[in-house]
Amino acid sequence: MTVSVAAAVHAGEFVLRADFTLTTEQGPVVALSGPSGSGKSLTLALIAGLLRPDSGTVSIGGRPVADAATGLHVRTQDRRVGMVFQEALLLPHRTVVDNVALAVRTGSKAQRQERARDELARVGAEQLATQHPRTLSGGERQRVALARALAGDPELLLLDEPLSALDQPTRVALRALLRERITVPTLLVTHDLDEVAALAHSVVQYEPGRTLGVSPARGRAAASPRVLSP
Amino acid sequence: MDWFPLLLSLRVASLATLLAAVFGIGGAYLLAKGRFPGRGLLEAVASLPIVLPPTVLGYYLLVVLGARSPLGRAWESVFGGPLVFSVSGAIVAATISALPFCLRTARAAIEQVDPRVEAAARTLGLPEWRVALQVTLPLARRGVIAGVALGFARALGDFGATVMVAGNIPGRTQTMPIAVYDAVQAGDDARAGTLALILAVVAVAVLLLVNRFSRVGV
Amino acid sequence: MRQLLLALLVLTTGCSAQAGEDGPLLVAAASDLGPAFTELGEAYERDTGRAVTFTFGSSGQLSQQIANGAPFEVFASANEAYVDDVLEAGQGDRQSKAQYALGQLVVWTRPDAAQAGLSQLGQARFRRIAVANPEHAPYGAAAVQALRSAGLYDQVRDRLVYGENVSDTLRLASSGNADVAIVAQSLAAVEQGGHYTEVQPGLHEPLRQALVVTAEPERAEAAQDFADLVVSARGREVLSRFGFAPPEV
Repeated sequence: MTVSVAAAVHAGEFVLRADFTLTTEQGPVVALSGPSGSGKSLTLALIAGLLRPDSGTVSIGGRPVADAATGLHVRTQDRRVGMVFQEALLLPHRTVVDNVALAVRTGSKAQRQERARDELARVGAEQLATQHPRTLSGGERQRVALARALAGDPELLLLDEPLSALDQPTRVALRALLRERITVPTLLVTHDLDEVAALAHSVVQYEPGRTLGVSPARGRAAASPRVLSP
Repeated sequence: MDWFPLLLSLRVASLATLLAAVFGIGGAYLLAKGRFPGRGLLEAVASLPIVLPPTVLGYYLLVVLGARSPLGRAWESVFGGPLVFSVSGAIVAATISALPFCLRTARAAIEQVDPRVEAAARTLGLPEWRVALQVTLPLARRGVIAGVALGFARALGDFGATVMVAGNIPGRTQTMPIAVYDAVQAGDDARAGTLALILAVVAVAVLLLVNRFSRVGV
Repeated sequence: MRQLLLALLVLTTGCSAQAGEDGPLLVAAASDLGPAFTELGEAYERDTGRAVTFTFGSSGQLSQQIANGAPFEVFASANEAYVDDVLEAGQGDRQSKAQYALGQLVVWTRPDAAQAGLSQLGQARFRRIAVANPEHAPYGAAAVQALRSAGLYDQVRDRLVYGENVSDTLRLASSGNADVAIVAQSLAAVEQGGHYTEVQPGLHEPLRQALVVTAEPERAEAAQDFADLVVSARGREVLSRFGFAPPEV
């Protein structure tokens, strides 16, 4: 799995120039790290196709998904990315299990519900299935959001500061969950160095408006006994 | 007591609201999300029925849909009878009157939906039509229902446009507001008062019902 | 929500079989004919077993509606010109055109006011004078003509208020919103309370009331029956009781 970004995007006054190539040989979890406002989340939006680059190209798994020169833009729906944001952004009018089932791409209605329950069980949230999102705590919501992102069998998982809105104990618990559960190639945006150390195999370093390149992460890459290949 | 005007009014207003809801919500979605040339003009034209006096609206409809107009002739050749001075004409007049209320209210509600929730739904692989039907519209539901309720109220109460396009034919096109007018004209104050009261009671009852439905869930 | 939709469906499919071959005869008639035609309508229903539905309005508005395709089957106007308009628009059967009465204009005052004739309308106590809209109501046009002939028009012009049709005009005065109304005798005669004074017929063009059959061929016979009733001796008797004069021959 290779993700390569060589693109510039304008967001108001701000201009981001991102230039990096990642492969799974560097480990499935890559952290995008740097000061807030340096363009990390914009990069994820570019990769997810929620934004179009003003110049340059984006490709996922060797397949170009955006090219400003030719106008190529593969729709978000067709990129097979799963995404978790800082807020869970669950649909308030659907139950938890329905929210997850919405993301399952194949099967009958019963099969999709079944799969959704499996995904909820894997993040320790099976008991929440019939509740509505508004009754959940922040940590529970993020568990559900993670289950929902994984239920679509994404090729690439994009985590945009998924833990930064949570309190410390919840954050630690969820960090452990992420460490255990993530087997697909993942880009993690965070400004929390503990998170980088606990989860990332390599790091894309940012300074405001641009990327500085990819380097191995100090903690996990060295310490990790298992390198996962999807 | 002749219940025909009430039944006709309910029938015309319900069908008109249904049509106005379909076109109004669809149009609202396009206007809120679409970026195409002539968007501003389209919205202005769709809002005309709010600005124009109902009689002027009725006059335009009569000109455009009348028995001698191309559209009127096309209608007649398909359905075998003229559109104007018929129940269908009354429904068209009420639909056009109700449309901008559905459209403008729904549009404002759709524009207030958090775009990040829609983005999240796209990352789940939902195609655009499912994002619209399963994410955006349910989230905009309060405003959309309010717009449809306003549209219903407008359709139920329309006099000017309906009387121009559908006329005042008792037992055929005489809706409640027209029956009230007719009773006043004939000096039948008792009948006018009764009809007006019934119309008010029905309108309040329907709006209460809609309010209750819009609070269920969410 | 489902019940609501169901109720809606029942509503929208029900009560739709109103029109059609056997529906009531649709008669568009000038407002001054309200009381007289209601009585004639009952006679028609007794004679033929067929129901009749009246739409009363100003002759000008009704003729416009018929020209635009309104499905009326008999048109009884308060003047001949609007019948000709309808015929010119290609609606109606020229053969069936007939004068049925001469209209009589009166000045109507409220029960709490003194009776007055046209010549007194210049007095300051008549602050608002109701007439039917002369643009499309024959009685309104006749009222304005009579005021002009009497040399009063310029004096009262700013005090005129227009009713939509002659029935609406009487309503303006009877409700107290106008002090006096110039209307048809046929309406003033049946109004509870109030007084009226006839306007000299010589002051305006005669109100030659005429009718025409505008029905589709398959319903023309039923419509002609009604037209015949109106112009028959029986019809004339009813009309004269409501203050109409017989037509000029």
